[in-house]
Parts: sequence; C-alpha cells; structure tokens
Amino acid sequence: MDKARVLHAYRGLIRAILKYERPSKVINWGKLQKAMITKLEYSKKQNPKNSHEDSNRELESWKQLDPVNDRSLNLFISDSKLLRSILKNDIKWEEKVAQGQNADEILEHAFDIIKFLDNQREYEELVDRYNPGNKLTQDEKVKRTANVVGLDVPR
Amino acid sequence: MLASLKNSYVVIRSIKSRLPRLYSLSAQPLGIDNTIENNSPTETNRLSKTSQKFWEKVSLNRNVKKGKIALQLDGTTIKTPLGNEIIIDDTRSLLAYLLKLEWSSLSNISIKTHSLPLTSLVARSIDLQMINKPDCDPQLVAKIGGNSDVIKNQLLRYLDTDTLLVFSPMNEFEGKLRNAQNKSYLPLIKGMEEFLSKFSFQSNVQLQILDADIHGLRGNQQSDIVKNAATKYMNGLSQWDLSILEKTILTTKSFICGVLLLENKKNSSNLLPNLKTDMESIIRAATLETIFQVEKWGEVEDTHDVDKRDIRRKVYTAAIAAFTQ
Repeated sequence: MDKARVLHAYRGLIRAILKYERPSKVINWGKLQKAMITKLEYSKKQNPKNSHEDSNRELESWKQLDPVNDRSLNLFISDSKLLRSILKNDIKWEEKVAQGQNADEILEHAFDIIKFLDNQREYEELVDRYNPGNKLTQDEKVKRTANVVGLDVPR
Repeated sequence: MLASLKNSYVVIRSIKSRLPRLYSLSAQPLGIDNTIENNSPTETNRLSKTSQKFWEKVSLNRNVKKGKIALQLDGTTIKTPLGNEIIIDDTRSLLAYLLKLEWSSLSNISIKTHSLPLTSLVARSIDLQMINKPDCDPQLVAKIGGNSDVIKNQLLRYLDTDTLLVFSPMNEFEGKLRNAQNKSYLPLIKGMEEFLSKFSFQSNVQLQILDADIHGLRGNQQSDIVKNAATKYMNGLSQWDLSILEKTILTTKSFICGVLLLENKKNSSNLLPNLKTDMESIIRAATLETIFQVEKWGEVEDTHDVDKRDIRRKVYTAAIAAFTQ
C-alpha cells in the first residue's frame, strides 16, 4: 500500500473539512466575542465596588480576539471524535489500509469527498462574490436603492 | 529500579508543565479550551466543540439496534419537504457525518437552496421511497412530479440525445474536439452497449449516435430494444439509487454518465473493464465541448468558473450518496 497516498487522503480530508467549516466558525466566534464583551461589561457595571483585575484582563483578551485572521481558532475540526470513530469502526480505514485490499476504493472515496467539499465551498464563494446583494439585509437594500436615485432613507 | 523510573517520570512531567502549549502561540482567548479531549461542561467549551448554530444544535442520533441514523436539530429529526424524517441506514455513516457537517457549517440564517446539496439529494430519495408505497396520497405524488415510473420515462429521454452520443463536426476546433470525443466516448459507448445487453433478450443492443457530419442537425432517438433494456436496468434499482441516477443525469445531461457514476461507486469490482472510470473522467466527458471552448475563447467570468464548480459539486454529491461502505 502506498503510504504517501494514504496520508495524502487523510490529511486532505481533514484539511477540506477545516476549510469548509471556517466561514461558519468565524461567524460563531464573532458572535461569542460580542456576547462575552457585553456580559463582562455588564457585570462590571453591576458590581462597581469589586476590583475588576480579572475581568479587565479577560475583557482585554476578548477585545483583541480577531476571528477573521486568527488561525489558532481553526486548528481542529469540530467533530473529530465522530469522524474518527466512523473511519475506524464503520469504514475500517486502518484495517483496510494495513491489509492493502479494498483500500483503493476507500481512498478514492476520500478524494471524492475532498473534491465535493472544496467545490461546494468555492461555488458558494463565487456566487457570493458575483452577487454581493445577496448578503445584504432588507434595510440595507432599501437604503442603497434610495441612494441610487439620490435620496436618503428618513431616519 | 522502580524509584528511578518514578523519578524520571516526575522530571518529564515537570518539563511538560513548563512548556507552552503549541496551539497557544498566538492570541489565546481566556475561558476557552481548544483541546479536543477536554470535556468540562462550560458554555464556551460546548460552543467551541459542538458546532452549535445560533439557536440550534445539529446532531446524529444513532440507533444501533435498528441500524439507522437520524439527523437532528435540537433533538428533533429534520424532515424532508414532504414531511418524512431524514433517517438513513447506519451503513452510510460517513454520509451521515457529511450531512451533519453540511448543517453545522451553514454560515448565516438565510439558508440558500444551493447550500445543502447532500441533504436535498437524500431528502429526495427518502421522499421517492415514500411516494412509491401503494397507499400514498396522490397529492403528495403530484408534488414530487409523479411516481418513479414517470421519472424513469423522463430520464429515458436523456438517452436519446445523450451528451456522450452526440459528436461534433470534424471542421470545428480543427478536428481536435472530434478526436477527443472519439477517444473518450467510443469506448464508453461500446461498454454501455455491452452493459445494456445484459438487460435485453436481443443480442443487438446498439446505441444510436448523432454524428453532426453525417446526420447534420436533427433529433435523435434510440430503438425500442435499447429503451426496454434501459428501463429494465432502472427497474432493478432501489429508489435511493434511482434518485442518484436522476441527479447525475440532470447534471450531466447524459444517461450514460448516470449509469457510469452509479455503477463505479456502487459495485466497481464486478464492472465491465470498459466502463471502469473515475468521477473526474465522467465530468470531463460531460463537459468536453465547454473545455474546448474555454481553451479557444477564454473563460467567461460568472459563467464558466461558476459552472465548473457547480457540475463538480453536484456530481460529487451523487458520488458520495452512491458509495457503499
């Protein structure tokens, strides 16, 4: 069995899943960041007498967090245990690779999954890029439509 | 001996505790544990590990006894457009994992129609299974566009003008396209004839091709022998396989590509050598003319680049669903 190919398939699969998950993870982290900052600031206001060394530090680290550019947030796939157990118990990845029989089929399938994830992700990116209006909220659309004819939406 | 072992163990542990964790080199937010193995029940941990969406949690509920896996949001099984629960055999656990991934990776609230291709294919096949039960409500059958006999007839029409059966004239692209078509289509057509003849009593199963040099511009039709054989093949398929065949045929505009994908993914070991192929070759065969056009005239933005991904994501969706573990 070609070890390099096996490694390539497994790594590629994990990498493709990571990339696929990234956009939603970034949004989730952004939301969490916002919620935590609000919560900490609220609790500071509630108890003005206490010292806030800890919460200040925490607050600072939350404010510094940059979900879009922080690569450390994207090092693990979110459900690796499940994937590992499926590969081990259902697909019998290790056994098949060790025996060398029927391994081609599963490796081929791993590459198919990688290509699916990559193409799906790229497709969505392209659609978003060519249709920037899709992501706007209704209010934003109305505002821009008004701007086109030189008007402003009343506040 | 034992004491020295113990000593060295303590030394190693003390070194370990002093070393910074590799993943904390860049900004490490407080209160969040990025390690996978840690399972302390904090909200932040839960959020970073379970890919919990705003209000919902996607999960798989595996019933080992029944051998089924249900795809669930907040503990309730997701339902198909016709109201059937999305439950699949646990022999397709990898597909179930990908379904979950698809749901947990939705990046905003407004779910677009193209963001869940696997789910829509699985839902379609589950609905097809349901409407083919004899006591089904005719209104539901109408909603899905007819029962599987109607669908089979519609799919048969793709065999008449199959992408792989239409040959371009020799004078286009200096004959390059035609040569590529000959090279890639002819063996597949031959293999397909051999494959279909297994489903026919007659020996002369022959696919009618449409050659632009000989036939010019006109329609094309297959003989009844071919149609009967193809129908017989489709009748032997499960509803699950039929929906995969349908998805592939509609994407590639080719019946032959549909059969190729299904057979290569399902039982490639006892397949005719002529028909053995991989997904990328199927896609290339289905888009051969576009490939030559792009080569000659260049890639058109918002069209060729999008279509290229589109056909791939659809074909690979079908391939993933067709795979048997």
